[in-house]
Amino acid sequence: MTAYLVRRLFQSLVVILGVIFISFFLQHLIPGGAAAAGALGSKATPRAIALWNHDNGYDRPYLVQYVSYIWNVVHLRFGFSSIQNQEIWPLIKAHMAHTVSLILASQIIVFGLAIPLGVAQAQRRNTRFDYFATGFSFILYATPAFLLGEILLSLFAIHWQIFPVAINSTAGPWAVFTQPWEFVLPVLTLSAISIGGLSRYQRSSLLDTLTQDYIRTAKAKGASRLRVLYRHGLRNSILPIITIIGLSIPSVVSGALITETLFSYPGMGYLTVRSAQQDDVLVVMGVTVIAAFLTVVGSTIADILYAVVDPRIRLGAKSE
Amino acid sequence: MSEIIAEEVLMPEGGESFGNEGILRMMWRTFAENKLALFGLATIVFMFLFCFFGPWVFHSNQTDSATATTNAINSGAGVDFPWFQTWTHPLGTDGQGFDILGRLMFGGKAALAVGFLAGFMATVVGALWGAIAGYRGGKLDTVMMRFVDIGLSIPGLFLLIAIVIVFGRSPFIIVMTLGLTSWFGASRLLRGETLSLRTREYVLAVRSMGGSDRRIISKHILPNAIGTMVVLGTFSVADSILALAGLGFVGLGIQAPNTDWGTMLSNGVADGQTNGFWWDIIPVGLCIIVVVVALNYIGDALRDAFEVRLQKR
Repeated sequence: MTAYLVRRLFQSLVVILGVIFISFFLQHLIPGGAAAAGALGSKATPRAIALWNHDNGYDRPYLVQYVSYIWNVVHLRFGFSSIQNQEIWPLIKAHMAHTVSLILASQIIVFGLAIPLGVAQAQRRNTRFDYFATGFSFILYATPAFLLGEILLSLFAIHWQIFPVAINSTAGPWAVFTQPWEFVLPVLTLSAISIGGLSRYQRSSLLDTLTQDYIRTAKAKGASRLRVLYRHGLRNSILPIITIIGLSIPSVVSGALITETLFSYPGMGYLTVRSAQQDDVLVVMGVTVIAAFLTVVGSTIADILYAVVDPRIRLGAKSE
Repeated sequence: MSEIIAEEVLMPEGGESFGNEGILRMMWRTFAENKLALFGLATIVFMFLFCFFGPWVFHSNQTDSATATTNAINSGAGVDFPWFQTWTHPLGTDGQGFDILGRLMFGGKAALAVGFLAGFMATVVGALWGAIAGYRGGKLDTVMMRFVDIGLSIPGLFLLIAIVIVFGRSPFIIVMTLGLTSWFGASRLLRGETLSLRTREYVLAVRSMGGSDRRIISKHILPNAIGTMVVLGTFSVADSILALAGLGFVGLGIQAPNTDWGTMLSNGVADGQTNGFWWDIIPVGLCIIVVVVALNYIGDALRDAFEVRLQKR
């Protein structure tokens, strides 16, 4: 288990370093470099840029710059946004918890709805209920988040006025949990795609598991139908789902960007879109690094959880 | 044409009859058995005809915003309600006065072109990357696959936005960016496939005859993984169309005076929230969903058609 943990954490570290490299690389491809992007604006003269580059160490060798960039990122120094007239990290920090809470809430909903749905479908395979649920999850899966969110918004917020149209901008980062009513639409919008995909996985995973020999054995020794289904079937079939959730985190974070934009919810995605529209490159880079970092943390936790739950991984990690 | 060749090659000598049809025809039959896939294929063909040849039949102004605005003002409320009074604008006009039916074609051209180009690019890059990593193995494999891990763990839309604002918002940049940021998943699958192909007898035979790695990968591994590649390509096109729509939705899609479905939707949402113009949202939303679902049906059926294991049953 320790060996597995060490290896997995090392992998995550490499990925995070890679993400920082990509961000570094992109910043150096900006015409005029970081000077034009951040401090001086796009209309700076070459002379001013050269001067600024020298003052801020942008004329040093790339390797030195890369190491110092990593150093800065580790210390959460992402630079200064001249457009927002603010240090970038406090800006990201103010938006970060909003995104985390939105994603947590939606993942709870996804887990709570998708798994029972998948199990129910597997139990009643090829019945009318199964076909209907399959069609339903297919539509959920194919509908882009922005379209679903817009439809929900115009029906439930504008037409019937059951839910508020925009989120109260003074609400704290954890308002998703303290004032759930206001956040029903954004959380549903973000959950919908994952529910479609995950319930399909749960259905096929349980169906696969139910064809295993140990299920037949359990039935043969006289275990009740429910005991076979839940104790032998569900427990084994739910394992791959943890991995799927880990793998789906990047797309959920992308989905959060859309959801936040649509509902003007002040999270990292909203910050990214607003900054992108103003060509505030440094902020976008900073948010991308942090979003990728959170994603890596999420997938690492999912993988470790998987190892904790599944003794085959926990004990057999060396044999791979 | 290729069907005939395949048939000749497969016909065994000496009159021994071994299925009377070529492999392509067999695949087509498996594909055609899937009614949803045929429906999907018909939909995609229809959408292509609609977007690329539709403007020849249904003329509408899509680029001159001044004329469009005048048109909007002349029609009274600013925007024509669909099917209202005349048939000049069958689906109504949007907030700027552009005809929506024509705009669906206009934006669809960009959406389909970008989606197919980017999807194709992602598949080719991913296939090469995965095949090389899987075939060479060892340290190179580890390094290449760690790179894929990095790519997969950055939330796609954030990366897209970051690259697009660094390089500019031209359609060329968007195609390149979409193509070069969405091949990671494909390379993983191709690597897996290569790992099983590289130990096959025919690969060993070529290697023992002194065939180069390049030859083995390009002439033996990739052609044998063509099924996986085509299936991946189909899903990849669907994903690219969705990604472009997402990019358009946050205002970074194809820029005015041109447009794409995502940008239309984004403008439509603004109109919808202020004026309640649902016809500015629903048709373009349906176009996106229909194309994406159709491509997914096709991909599923192609997977069945290429799956040799299933064919023999």
